[in-house]
Amino acid sequence: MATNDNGIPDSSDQMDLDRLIGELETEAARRRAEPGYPHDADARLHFELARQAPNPPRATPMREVIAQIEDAVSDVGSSSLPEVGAGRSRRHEGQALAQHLRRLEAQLKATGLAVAGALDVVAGRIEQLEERIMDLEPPPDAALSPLPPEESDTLVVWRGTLTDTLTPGERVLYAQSRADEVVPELRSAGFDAYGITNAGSRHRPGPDVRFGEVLAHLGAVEDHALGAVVLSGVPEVMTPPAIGPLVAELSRVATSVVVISEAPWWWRLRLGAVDADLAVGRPLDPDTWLHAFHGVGMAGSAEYDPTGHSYRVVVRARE
Amino acid sequence: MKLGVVVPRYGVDVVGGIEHWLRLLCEHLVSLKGWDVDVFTTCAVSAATWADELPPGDLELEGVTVHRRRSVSGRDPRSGELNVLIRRNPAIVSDEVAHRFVDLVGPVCPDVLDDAARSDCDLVAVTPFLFWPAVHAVPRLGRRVIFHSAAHDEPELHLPIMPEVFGAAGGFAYNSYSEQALVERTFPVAHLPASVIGATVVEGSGDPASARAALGLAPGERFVVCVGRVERAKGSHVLAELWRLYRLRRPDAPRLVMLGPVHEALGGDDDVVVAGRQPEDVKWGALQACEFAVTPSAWESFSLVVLEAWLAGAPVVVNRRCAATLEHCRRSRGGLSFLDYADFETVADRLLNDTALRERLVANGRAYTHRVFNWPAIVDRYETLADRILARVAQPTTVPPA
Repeated sequence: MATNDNGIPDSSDQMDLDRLIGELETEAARRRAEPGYPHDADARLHFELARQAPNPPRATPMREVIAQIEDAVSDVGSSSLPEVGAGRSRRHEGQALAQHLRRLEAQLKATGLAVAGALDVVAGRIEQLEERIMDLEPPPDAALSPLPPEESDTLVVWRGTLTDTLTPGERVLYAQSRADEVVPELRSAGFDAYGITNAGSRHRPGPDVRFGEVLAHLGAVEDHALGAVVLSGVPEVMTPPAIGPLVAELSRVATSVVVISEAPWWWRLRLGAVDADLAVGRPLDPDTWLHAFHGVGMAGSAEYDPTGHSYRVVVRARE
Repeated sequence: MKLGVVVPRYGVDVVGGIEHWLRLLCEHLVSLKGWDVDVFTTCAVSAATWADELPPGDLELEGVTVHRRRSVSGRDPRSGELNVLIRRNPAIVSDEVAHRFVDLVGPVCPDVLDDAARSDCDLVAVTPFLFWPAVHAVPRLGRRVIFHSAAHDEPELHLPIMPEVFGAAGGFAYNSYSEQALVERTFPVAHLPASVIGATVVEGSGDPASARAALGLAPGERFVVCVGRVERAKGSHVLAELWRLYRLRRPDAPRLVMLGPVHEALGGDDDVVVAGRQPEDVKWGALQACEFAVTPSAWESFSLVVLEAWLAGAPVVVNRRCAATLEHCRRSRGGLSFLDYADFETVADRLLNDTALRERLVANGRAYTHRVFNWPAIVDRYETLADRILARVAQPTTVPPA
């Protein structure tokens, strides 16, 4: 029987367990709504559990909301109650008021924590589903293209001369087309190369090829830490608004950048004018890359392959 | 390859996830890869005090050379006072306060660092990030360091001195993908060689009947187990309260057995048995005999006990706030999780009453453990990572700033 990267049979097992977890969460929600449910104890335990735990990563607005609710309810009742007068009747009155406020505080806390708990379950479920969708589907931008570019063909043209643009010994990040094959080639040619790709399994072990998105990865790289970054199969699936941040990050971390891309006219010929214009991932003109890099202090040149189907832009930080 | 290892405590008597696992890694690197391994450590056994309990000197343990040195100071109780301040907002404390805190947490042992720095080791593994040896060893040893940070998202990780520590390492050996994600969203180190090595356990043996007897349980008594240090930060106390509430609502439910050294007092009663530290065979027997195992801690970077439970035949329930244990459960499909009491009650009800589900979860967890965390695979991953880091040792930084 075929197994996945984790040694688990690939069958309906995953679906069944996802369904089971969904059932359990639904059942838990039903119990929270039961009249006899111990809300006070639950609130106290929830608070203790949250206190002995890291803050969740603020990845989604939902998480922000949950954290805000938890922050808000943890402050409820933290301010001291006003002193009441010394008279006996006023003291009784004050005690009654204090008792009332304490009850109110407990109710507010319980309600807030229950809401936060429920939202957290929903958020966790959404994240789980997003992870599964990521494993099942190609990246969203690529999926929107009516016909994905033949990026591997583009790479074939430039693969043999890739090392011409790099300096031996430097740290090179290669993203992302056929990273499994290209990175070992670069390493055996004497480059301190590693790769990133969003294709395949996220549980790919090893220091040479990582799973992830280029832009997010660059955000976690130290300034000037890389000699070069080579992008192949990346530009075709990027939206124009993402180009600016990408170029800015590249200039921050790397001394030189190589962009390998299919030519816009060839894309247009293959897809037709309308689809090419509407496709999210249509390639940029090489001059557009040069212009964008110029804006962040990098300069270089563009070169088409002999057939004109693809091009390579090479830029370096200006002295 | 000659590997050095800087770790606060080392030895068969040392109870602690990362230290225990690192000892096994050293022994397997010697036996499976033929590496020379030199461990630079203190004389401590207990992380609660770092007191010098073992004699200083050099010795050999299972093919590993161990250099033990006395500490200048151990864990100072005043670190607890500073900890209160740090927990509030670690990012704003001064470097001076942060270093003072690390000194108080200890163990302060400059001899360990001197030995490691003077050694002819090709690379030096350092762990874990939150104690004095790592905070000082990583910047000093620099690109020779394979950093086993064992990071989880606790306040110490956000101290202002930590970027210098993490940024100085040659590369990273992570326990889980969630640990890698945490470190890389906290420090700009994603360009450095890194690999999720994981950890594993040596499957032990035990006898359910003997374990029940040792734990003071009746023959054949059903029970649920929690294995690990008993302390608040590990979630032990809140788990005891969860179980007491559960037993209040389910009077026929089995008892909970807490099995592990008690670092913070926890009273036992009719609902919860606090068994304290027990021999390995009792632990394995208990894991074989229990209905399921609970790991309530939210501060885990790996959690060996989750793998141990699966190997022994126990399904696991983890705290959904813990990224590392949740990652195990999601990848393996071998465990369930809880966020609050309602989840906990629902999951416990289901596991206690569904043998088929328990068996299915265990089968998945066991397959995952065998496939991903077997020793040959782990030492292969480690060797590849070490090669990558070694190749870069000569380079202080990759590229000088433009």
